[in-house]
Amino acid sequence: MTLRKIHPQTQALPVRATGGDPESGNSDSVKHQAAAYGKIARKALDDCQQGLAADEALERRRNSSGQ
Amino acid sequence: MSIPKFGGRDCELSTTGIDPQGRRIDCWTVIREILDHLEPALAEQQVRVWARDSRWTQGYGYGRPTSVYSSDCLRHWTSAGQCYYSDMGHIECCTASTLYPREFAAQCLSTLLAVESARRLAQDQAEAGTSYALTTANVDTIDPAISFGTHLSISIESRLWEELFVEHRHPAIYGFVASALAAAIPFFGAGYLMPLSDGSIVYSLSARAHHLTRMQTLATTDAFNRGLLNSRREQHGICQDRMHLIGFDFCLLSAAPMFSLLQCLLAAAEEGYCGLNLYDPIHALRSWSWRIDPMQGRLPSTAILVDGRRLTLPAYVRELATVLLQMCRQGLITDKIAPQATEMLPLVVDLTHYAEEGSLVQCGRHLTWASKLLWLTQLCQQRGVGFDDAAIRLADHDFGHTNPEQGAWWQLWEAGMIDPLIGLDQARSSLARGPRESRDWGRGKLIHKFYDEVSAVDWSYVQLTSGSDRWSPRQRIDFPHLDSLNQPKFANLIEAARDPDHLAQLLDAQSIGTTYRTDPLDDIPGQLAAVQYVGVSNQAVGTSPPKHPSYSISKGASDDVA
Repeated sequence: MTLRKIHPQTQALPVRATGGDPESGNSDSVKHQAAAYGKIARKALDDCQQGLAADEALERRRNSSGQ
Repeated sequence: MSIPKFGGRDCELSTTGIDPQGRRIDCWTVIREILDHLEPALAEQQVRVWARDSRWTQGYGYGRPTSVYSSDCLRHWTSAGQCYYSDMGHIECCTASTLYPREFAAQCLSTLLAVESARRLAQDQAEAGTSYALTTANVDTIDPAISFGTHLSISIESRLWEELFVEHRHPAIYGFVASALAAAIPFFGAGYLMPLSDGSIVYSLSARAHHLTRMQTLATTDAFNRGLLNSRREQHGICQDRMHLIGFDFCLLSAAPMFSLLQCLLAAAEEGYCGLNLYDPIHALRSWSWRIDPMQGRLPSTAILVDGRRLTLPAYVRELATVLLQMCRQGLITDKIAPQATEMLPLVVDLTHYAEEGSLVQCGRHLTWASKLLWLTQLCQQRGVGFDDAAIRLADHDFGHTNPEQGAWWQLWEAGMIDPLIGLDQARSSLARGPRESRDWGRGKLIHKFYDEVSAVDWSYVQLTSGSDRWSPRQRIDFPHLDSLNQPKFANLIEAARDPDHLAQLLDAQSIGTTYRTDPLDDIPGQLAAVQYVGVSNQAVGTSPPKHPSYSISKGASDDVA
C-alpha cells in the first residue's frame, strides 16, 4: 500500500532527510531543513523592537494561572 | 456498537496585557476588555453574541460557576454555536461540536479569528500604548509548572465510560485507550521549549507532557499531577457520555487528522479493540516527547509494548492508524461514526513515515511541533543564539499568537509552508454559522432569531421569554442529544416560528424537540444583582488590590428582562 501517493503536495516539498553529519551542512540536518523557512523568518521580535530585553518581555507576558 | 463521535475543543489562551508605562496588566482586566469587544468585533460578520452575565465577582471569586468542576464565567454565546468566556485567568474559546474533522479544524481556527478581532478592537480603544496579547501557547512564559488547558470533548457510549472509569472489566481496553492517547499527545503536540533547572532547554513535542503523571485524574489543575484520562463526568446529552481529554495542545496544523484519529480510536474501543497496549503509557509519552534527535530531527526513542516489541512514536502511530483504517475500510467504523477517516488516517500514516526519516519540512506542513522546531531553529541561526535565549523562548510562546503580524504560523501558512487542511474562508464560514449536523447549529439559530427574547443559555438549552412583562413565563428549548434541532431537523421550523410561544407549538406539533414552560418567579437567584469587588475590577493596572476594597451593587442578570 503506497499511501504517500495520495498526498502529492506533501511529497513535492524540497528538503528531505537522508542521513549524514548535521554539523557539516549536509542536507540531512534540522538546521539545513530550517533554511526552507529562511525567506519568511521574522527579522526581529516585537518586544526587541520596542527596546525591551527579551527576558524582561518574557516576564511581562506571564499568564500565571494554571488549569 | 459505537456511536457518532461528535466533538469540540475548549481552549484557554495565554491572555496578557502591557500598559503604556510598560507595566503588566492583570489578566482579568485583559479578559474583560477583550470579551466586552467580542460583539462589536463580530457584528461585521453578522454574528450575534449573547452575554448575560457581565459581572466580575461571584462564586469562585469572579464569576458564577456553572459546573461543579469549572469556575468559568462571563459566557458569550454566539449565533454560530460557539462560546467564549473567562476561566482561570484566561480567555477560553469553545468550538461548536461537529462530526467532521475538517469542520473541527475550521472551528478551532475560527475561534482565533474571533478573539483576534475582539483583541484588536479592545486594544485600539484602550489608552494609546496599551497592548493585549493572546496566543495558543498553553504554558506560562517563565514557569513550566503553570500549564493551562486545551481540552477536547468527544462523545462516547456510557458503557465505554463505565468501562474506563468504573468497572475496568476489560483492562486491556483501558490500556489501549491510554496507550493510544500517550502516542497521540506528542505526535500532535504543538512543541515547547521546556526550560530545565540547569539552564538548558529540551524541545518537547508536547507542551503538556511534563504535567501528565497519572493514568487518570479527576482534577485538571494540579501541577505535575494530571491524568492521561480525565474522569470528569459531565454528560452533554442523553444516552451518551463525554470523553474529556486534557492532555493535548492547541495543535494549529493537525487538528483535523488528530480529531479523526481520536474519533476512530474511541470507536474502536467501543467495538472492543484492545491491542497496542504500552507497558507504561506515561513513560512512553514523555520519552517520545523529549528524546527528539536535535540534529537529525528524528524520533529514535522507543517504548515497550506488552507484547514485548519496542516501537518509536512514528512506528506506534503508524500501526495504530493502519489498524483503524482497516476498521474503517471493513465497515466496522462507518462514516456516520467518524466521517472523513479514510481520508485523514492515510495522511497520518504519511506523516509517520516523514517523522521516522526526520523529514521535518514535510512533517511541518501538518504537524505543529515540526514546523515550530524548524522556525525556532531558523531564528536561532539568524540571531546566532540557542534555544535558551529569551527571545527564542518568546518566539516559541508567540508562534500561535492570534495577531497574524506576530504569530509566525500565520506567516508560514500564507507562504504555503504549512497546511491546516482547511482554508481561511472555511474558518470564517465556521465563525458565521454552526455545523449543520450539530445541536449547536440550532442553539445559534435561536440566539440569532430571538436575540432579544433570550433569557438564559447553556450547552443543552436556550430559554426564551414569552412576554414583555418581567415575570412572564418562559419557554425553555432543550437539546437533549448532540444532534437535537440541527439544521436538517430545525431549519424550516425556526424559519416559520413567529415568536417563542409559536416556536414551542411547532416543536410540540412535530415532536422533534422538548420544550418546558418555566416561571421566573421560581428562578430568582439568577436574576439578582451581584456584589462587585471594586478593588479588583476597577483598580489601576499593574497594581495590587487595595487592602480595604470597597463593594458596590452591579447590574445583575435581571437587567436583560424587559
